[in-house]
Amino acid sequence: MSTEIIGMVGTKEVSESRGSFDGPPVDPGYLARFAQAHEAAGFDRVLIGYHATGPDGFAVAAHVLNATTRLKVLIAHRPGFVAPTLVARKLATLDQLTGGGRVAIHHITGGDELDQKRDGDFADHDRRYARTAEFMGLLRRELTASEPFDHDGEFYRVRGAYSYVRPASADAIPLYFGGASPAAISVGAQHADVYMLWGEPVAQIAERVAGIRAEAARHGRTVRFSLSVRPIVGPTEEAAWQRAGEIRAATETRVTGARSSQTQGVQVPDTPGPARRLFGFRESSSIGSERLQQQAAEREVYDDRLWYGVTRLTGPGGNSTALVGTAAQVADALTAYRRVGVDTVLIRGFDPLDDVIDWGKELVPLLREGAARTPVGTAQAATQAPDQAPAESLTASRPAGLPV
Amino acid sequence: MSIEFIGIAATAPHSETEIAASQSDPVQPGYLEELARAHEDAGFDRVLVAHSSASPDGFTVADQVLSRTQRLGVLLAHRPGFVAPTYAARKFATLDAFHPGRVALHVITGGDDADQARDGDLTDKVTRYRRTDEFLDVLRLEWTSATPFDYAGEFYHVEGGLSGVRPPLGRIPVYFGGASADAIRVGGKHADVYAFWGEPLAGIQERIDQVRAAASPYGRDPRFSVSLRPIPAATETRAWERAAEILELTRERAAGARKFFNLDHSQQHGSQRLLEFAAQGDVHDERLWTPIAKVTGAAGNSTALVGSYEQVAQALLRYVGLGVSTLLIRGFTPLADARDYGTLVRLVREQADPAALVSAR
Repeated sequence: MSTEIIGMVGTKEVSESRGSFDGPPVDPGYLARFAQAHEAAGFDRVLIGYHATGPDGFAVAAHVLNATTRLKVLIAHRPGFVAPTLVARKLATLDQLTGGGRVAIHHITGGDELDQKRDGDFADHDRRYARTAEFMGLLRRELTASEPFDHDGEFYRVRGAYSYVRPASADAIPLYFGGASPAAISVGAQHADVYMLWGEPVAQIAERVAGIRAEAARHGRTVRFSLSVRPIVGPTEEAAWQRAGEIRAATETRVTGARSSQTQGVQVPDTPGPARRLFGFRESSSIGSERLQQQAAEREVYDDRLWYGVTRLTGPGGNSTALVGTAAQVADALTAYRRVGVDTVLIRGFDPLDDVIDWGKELVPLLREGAARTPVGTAQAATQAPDQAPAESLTASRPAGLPV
Repeated sequence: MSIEFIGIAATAPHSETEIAASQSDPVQPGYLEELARAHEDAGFDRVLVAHSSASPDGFTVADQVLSRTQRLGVLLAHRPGFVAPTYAARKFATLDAFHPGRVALHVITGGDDADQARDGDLTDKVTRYRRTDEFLDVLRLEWTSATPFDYAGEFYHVEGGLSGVRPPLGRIPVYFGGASADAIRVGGKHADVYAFWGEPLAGIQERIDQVRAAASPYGRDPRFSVSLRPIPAATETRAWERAAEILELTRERAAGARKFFNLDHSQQHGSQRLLEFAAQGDVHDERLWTPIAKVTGAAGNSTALVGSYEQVAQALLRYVGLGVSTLLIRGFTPLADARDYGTLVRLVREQADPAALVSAR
C-alpha cells in the first residue's frame, strides 16, 4: 500500500512563531528554495494554501513545479469562486505543461465566514458543502468527458461543456478533501480520493476513519486518508519539548500583539509595525477547528506527544497540533495513525524551511521505513485501535538498531 | 514611448491553416516555449494568451511563457463571470509578483452565448457588460485598497475585501475589446488600452472617436490597439501569391477549425463590422485584405495586410498615424511568422514619427 509524505510551501518565511508579514508577500526566490528543499528532503508533494487575502495558489503551484523536477503539488481551493469547468481546465493545463502526474487539488469548503465574504460568498456552512459536492462532480466530468455534456444542478448549470485539454493520464489529478462536520463527511465519502484530517489523538482519528469509510462504503467507494500535523523535533525528547516551549512563547507574543488589529488574518504588505495576523479564524464555522479546541481545553498532550499548546493560543484555525519528540518518536507516532488507516501524512513545521531541511535527514527516511513495515489499517483494525496503547505497540515493533 | 508590438501565444499550432496538427495533441509545452522565445527574439513586447470555454487555461499558459522568457510580457485574456473578481485580482497580482511588470489583462466579455454556457454562464450579452463593469470596479478595489473594503452591486457582493498581494503601482494595465455600444460605454470607463480588430482606416478612426467620447466623462484618455494578420513577402507579387495559398488552405480547413474551436461569432458586433467591410470589397486601403474574415465568419482577428515588408510596415504606420500605439500581429503559421515579423517590428519602429506617437497619447 502506498504512502505519501506531503509538506507545505508559502511565498515567504512565516509561521505562528516565526517570520514577518511585513514586506513583499511573494518572494519568488524563497519559494523556489523552499520547494527545492522539500524535493531534496524526500517529500512527495507540497500543499499550497488558500486565503481570501493571499496569493493565488495556481500561480504559486506553477512556480513550484518549474523550480523542481519531480515534486508534486496539492493546490488548496474553495469551491464557489471559480467555475468548476474552468478549474478543471486550469488543472489539466498545468498537468500537461509540467510533465504530467504532478498536480492534485484540495477542496476546502471554508471554515471562516469572514474570509468567505471577502471573496463574495455569503452561503452558510451546509449549503457550501452541498455546493462543494456538486462542484467536485462537475470537475471530474469536465476532466474526463469525451463528449460535450449538460448539467443542471442547484448551483451550476452548463450547456455543452467540453474541454479539449485533458490531464496527461486518466487518474492524474486526484481530488483531496477536508471537513469534519456531518455535511462534510457525506460529501467527502462520495467525491474524495483522499480525505484530509487534522491531527487528533489516534483514538479519535480511528473513529473518524471508520465513520468515513462506512459512509463511503454505502456509495461503493473507498477513500484514502491523510493526517496533517506539525512536528517539533529535537535531538532528545527533552530538547524537543524545550523547543515546543519556545514556539509557544513566540506564538503567544505574536498572537497577543495581533489581537487588536483590524486586519488580523490578513497579510498586509509594506505596513510597518507588528505582524498583523492572527492565525485563527475570526468567524469560525469550522467543526474541525471546534473539535481541536475542545480537545485542547481538556488536555494539552495526548498519546504522549500530540501537543495542543499552539492550538490553545491561536483559537479556532487550521492544522495546529504538534507531535513533539525525537525524529524516531515522531515517526513512530505518525506510524501509529497508519495502523488505523491513514496512509498519507502532511507535515509542516513552525520553522518552515529549516524544519524541512532537518526532517530530510532523519524523520522522512524513518517515515518511509515505518510505512514499509506497517500495513495500512483496515476498517476492523480502525475500530479496535482506540483501546490499544500506541506507544507500547510501536516500541515492540521497532526493529533493532533504529535510533530511539 | 515606442510602439508596442503584441504577438500570440499558443499551446499547439492551431491557426486556420494548421488546425489538423493540433487536434490530437492540444498542449505541447515545447511548442509554446519555442513560440514565446521567437516573439522575444523578434522584438515583440508581449504575446496575447487567448481564452475560450474549451481551451487550456490562460493563467497557466501565461506563467509558462513568462518563466521561459526573459523580458517578454503577456496580455492575458480574461472573461468576467467565471472567477470571483477579488480572486481574479489576486491571480493577476500574484502572476505579476512572480514576473514584475510583465502582465497585462485583456478583458473580453464574451460574444458567443453557447461558449459562455459551456462554463455555466447563461446570461445575455447586455447583462454581461453590466457584469464586466462591476467586475472591473471590484478588481480595482482589490488591487488598490490598503484597508478592507465592501462592495454591493447587482452581481457582486463583498465584505471586508482585502488583498495582501497587490500590483506595485496599484494596477496592471487593462486592455479591453468590444464593438457594441455597451462595450464602448464600459470600456471607456475602464480601459487603459482599447483594442480593435483590423478594420479599414476609416473604421478605426470612427471607433477611436467613439471610445474617446465614452472615456472623456471619466477623465480617461485610453491608448488604442489594432489586431491584424500581416502576410509580408520579399515582393508584393509574392505576398499576394502567399495570400492566395493561405486562402486556399483556410477554405479546405475552415470546417475543421470551426468544429475544433466550436465558436460562433455571428452575434458579435466586431465580427459583423469585419464582415460588412469584407462584403464591400476584398481589399481596402490598398492592402487590407478581407477574404479570410469572409471564409471564417470573422471569428476574431482575421483581416490581413498583404505586401512587401516595406509596404506592410507603411500600412501599419498609417494606423499609428490615427492614434494607435499598440499593434497586435499574428500570422497564419504563427511560429515561422513570429520570427519573420522581426523585420516588420524593426521597420515600423524605425519609421514611426515620434510626433505622431506623442499625439497618440
